[in-house]
Amino acid sequence: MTQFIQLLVAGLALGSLYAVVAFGFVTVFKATSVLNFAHGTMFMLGAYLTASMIAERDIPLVVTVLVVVLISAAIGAVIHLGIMRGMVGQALFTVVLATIGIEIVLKALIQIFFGAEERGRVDMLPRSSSQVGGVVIAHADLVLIGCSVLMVIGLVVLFQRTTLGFKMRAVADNLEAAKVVGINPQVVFMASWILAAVLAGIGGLLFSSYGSVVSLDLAGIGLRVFPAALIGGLASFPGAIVGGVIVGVAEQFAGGYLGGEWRDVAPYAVMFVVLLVRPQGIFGKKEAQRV
Amino acid sequence: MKKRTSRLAVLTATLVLAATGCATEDSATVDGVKSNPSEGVTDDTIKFGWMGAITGLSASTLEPKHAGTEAFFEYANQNGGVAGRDLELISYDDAGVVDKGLTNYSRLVKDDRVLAIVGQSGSQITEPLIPKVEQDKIPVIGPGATTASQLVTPYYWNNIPTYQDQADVSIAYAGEQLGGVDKIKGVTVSLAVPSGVEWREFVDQKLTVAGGTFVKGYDMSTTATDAVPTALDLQKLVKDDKVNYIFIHGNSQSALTLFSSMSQYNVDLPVVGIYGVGSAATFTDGPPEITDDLAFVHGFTPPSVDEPGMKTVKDFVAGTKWEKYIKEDSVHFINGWVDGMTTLEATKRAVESGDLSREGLQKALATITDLDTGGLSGTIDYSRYGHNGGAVARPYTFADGKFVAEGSYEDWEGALKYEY
Amino acid sequence: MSDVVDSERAPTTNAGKGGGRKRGPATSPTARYRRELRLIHGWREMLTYGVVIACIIAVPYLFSMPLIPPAGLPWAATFTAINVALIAALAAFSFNLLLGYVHQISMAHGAFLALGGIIAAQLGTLGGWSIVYILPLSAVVGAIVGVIVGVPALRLRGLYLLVATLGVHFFAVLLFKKYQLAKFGFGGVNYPVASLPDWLPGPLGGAQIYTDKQWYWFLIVVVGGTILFGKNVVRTRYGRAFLAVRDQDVVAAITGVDPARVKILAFALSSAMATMCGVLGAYYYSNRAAESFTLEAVLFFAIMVVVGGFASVQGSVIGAFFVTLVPLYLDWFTRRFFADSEVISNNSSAINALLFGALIVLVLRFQPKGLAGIWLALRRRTLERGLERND
Repeated sequence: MTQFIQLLVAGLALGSLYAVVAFGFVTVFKATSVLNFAHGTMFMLGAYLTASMIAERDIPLVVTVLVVVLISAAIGAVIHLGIMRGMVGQALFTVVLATIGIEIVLKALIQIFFGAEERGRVDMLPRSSSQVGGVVIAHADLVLIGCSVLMVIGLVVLFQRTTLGFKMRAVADNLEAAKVVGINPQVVFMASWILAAVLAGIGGLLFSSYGSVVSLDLAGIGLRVFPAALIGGLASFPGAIVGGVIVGVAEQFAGGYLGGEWRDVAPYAVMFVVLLVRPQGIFGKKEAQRV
Repeated sequence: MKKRTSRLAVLTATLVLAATGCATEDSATVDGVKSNPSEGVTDDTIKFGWMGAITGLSASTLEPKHAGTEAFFEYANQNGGVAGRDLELISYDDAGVVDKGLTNYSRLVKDDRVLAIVGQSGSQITEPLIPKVEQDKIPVIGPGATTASQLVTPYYWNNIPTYQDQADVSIAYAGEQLGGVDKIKGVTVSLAVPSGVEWREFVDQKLTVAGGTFVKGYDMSTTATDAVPTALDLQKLVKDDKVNYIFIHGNSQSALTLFSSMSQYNVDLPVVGIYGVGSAATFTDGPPEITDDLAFVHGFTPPSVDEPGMKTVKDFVAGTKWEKYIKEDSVHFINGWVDGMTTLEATKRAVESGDLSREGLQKALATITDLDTGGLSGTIDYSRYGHNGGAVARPYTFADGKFVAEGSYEDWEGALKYEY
Repeated sequence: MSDVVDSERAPTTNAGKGGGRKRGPATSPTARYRRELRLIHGWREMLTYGVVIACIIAVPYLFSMPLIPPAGLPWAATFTAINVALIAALAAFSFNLLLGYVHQISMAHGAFLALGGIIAAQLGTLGGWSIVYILPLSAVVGAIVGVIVGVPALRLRGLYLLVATLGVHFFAVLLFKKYQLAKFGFGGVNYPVASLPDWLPGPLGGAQIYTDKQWYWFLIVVVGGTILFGKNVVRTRYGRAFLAVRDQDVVAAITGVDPARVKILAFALSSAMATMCGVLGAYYYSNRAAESFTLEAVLFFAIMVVVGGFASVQGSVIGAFFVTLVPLYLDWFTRRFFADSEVISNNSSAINALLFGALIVLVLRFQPKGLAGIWLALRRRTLERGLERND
């Protein structure tokens, strides 16, 4: 039983990280219908920047956060302005393939710029833990969950209380109607890309202290985001969060009860089950297809 | 119509020019040794090839290894080369991808026509190449790891101890720490790749034979970001006093992942691992309570350990681009250096016997049974089974920013069983 | 009419395309349709085919000549690369079938390559069958598995399919690992030298395939044959059904094309080819391990198809050759002219990846028909400069 609870807590921590990243992924999808393959690389960029600034150069946390946010935002903007904007009207899968291309480019740039060796972890989170009735709970996990909750609250505020958030929701719900009302979709698209990139970057920043190493494998985390988003329902914000948490928990349970080699397939196994029962995901809506 | 004809004419002309532009080959005699350009011996140089992952997977061990061989060749050239010629190293990066590995091999053997290949890495690349190497009859010196098939084919000259050798020494070391091999209650943690399974089986088998207890083996996914399930399970075992040593297979990254999870859950066990974890970063970046009891096993000596031959290396690389490997305390750099040493020695012997060709080099390599590398490695003896020249290893720990060798290579020779 | 990118069609069959040529007397719809269906459209195509065939025959002789290449060009390595490209072309084409014709992105190709590897191991290494028997059998098995995978795929579209196939990839790799460890060992699965069956006439009987030259001929026959077969499927009404489903599958259903059946057929064909490719790869590389089936390799097929130009057969082949040969020559180029730059030599594979990634984005943004599209445009322009009317 203790193992169960401990795995659960660890799963929640990992899952909350995934949730934040998945959220960004869904943001882009809801606004622009683009499935961003490069999301994981932006995550990785955040981690690398953090590692190189904090671990190697001792730059204070606040500055690092600022830099990560700015650079991620810049990349998001470039992707929108340079590439996505010019591809309006092309078939969807073309755009997805373009994001695959972006992923490859970003990963290569990171490798060239930062070097191919891995870096050690960044020491931002506490290493202590406490015992609660025989269960060891790592403080780092609690901090992670806390940060993610704060970010989600921030996002909810953004979407519910700000004009920009309102516009984004409008465009996501009904593009034509939003245009009629005078909302400029380009602004919304750009905002979505920037937001997604920043979320991914912050996710990377948090991750660089949670995981132990920062290396090129981190782009694989981006792959975990896909099943998370699908489980939750692709165009649903609460779905992204729930999906992310489910994936994190599934991974840790698989690792604990089946063995480390099952961690990669666990999220997909859960996804298969969910999709068989409910092909649109937990919170997703069945889409009517327009002829 | 006109355009097409003229285009055709241009094409033909280019092809003809290209064909005639082919260089003619020299085959003079320099320093008493006849040149043999089709096998890498020209009038000015003796060509060797290097192929492996300079970038990509396994780059963290292979890139310094490559640098080490490169540096040694430069050193050898500054000291006169061989038979009045310079040693040349032609290197190709395959990033661990098989297709590139195959293409690069063709290039080295048929286009660049090297005398031998020094260093070839990644079992996913060596395995496919073994049949071709046997056909081309080209020696491969110092491949990146020593697998079972490499022990069977006559053209591979292995400098790195096998997993069996490393397991032998690891178990002996753990036994020493605990006051007897029979006291060991060991677990393995390996990467979820086939060689990781191999490691687990060797440790299991050897530990049991030696009277110790093998408790269980854990897998770590190569993309794992944490080792929480493993740490939690270990925690349980520690509480029941069922485990007292960890034998780890992996690389620096996976080791750090394991350690940080262990540290999070207050699991403090001594660890001994394969050479893959043997980088300074593992010791300096890991949680101190674990790295205090951490050791790794290897057949090569990290630069911070004082050995007679180490001064030569340090003096030579000072002020060159290779200096950083000494600063990073990279044992893999020394690995590459030693590969260069064995290559040079074999080449010299081939020259002495009057046959500087692939076949001649092959024969010369077989005569190396007692090569002293000045403490940079154990004694290289290719007469061991499977041309396993480097089948000697010793444990290293870390203290005060430097590696500490636990004894000499000879001290640990007794632990090696050579049962393949 | 949606524009179908099929370069086998000479320009005049598309009204309005091609610069102001006078139309011949055969302009009635029936006659045009019949002309479309012809295998060879006039002497221009025959010339192209002729040149292609001449190149195919010339290659092995050219590349196995024992000459020293000028300027240090990689010569024998190019031959190896050509063989690698041929195998990749088959995989690219199978990816293209799904992508270009049915607009579905599947990441499961690695899974089928692994399946091919298992079949080759079971029948070839353990069973001693000749590769000539294994190939068609693997195609059948691949098709069946493809159908099994394809049925749930009906419920999924777009990203769902992509991610589901991603999951299939990971499962397949795990399966291969279990198989490998159960029946073989840690060093991966070793495959025997490919050999032809004994009953073939003359020197072909029982011949072994292991030099690059021998592989070349074998691959030309197998890969060329399979691609031609696939291409002809595309020319038939199934091909048109593919296109209909691709564009608007609800409309297609109304007009009598069953989108479900078409999608499954596409999956079956594509998986069959990918499995065959797995068998070829297993024998060519003579060793496969669980780590051989990386996700990066699958992404590379996507690169080949996109850069080459999807929805055209030539596209996948051109793309495969481009992606395989360019890094080789790029490396030669940087060695020759940038030998002193450390940055370049230390990051050669990253720079390669960078170029290809950028290429994908550029192609998709500006010329979605890829290299094949560029080639088509060039050919049209140069051939049209001649004054002849078509036929």
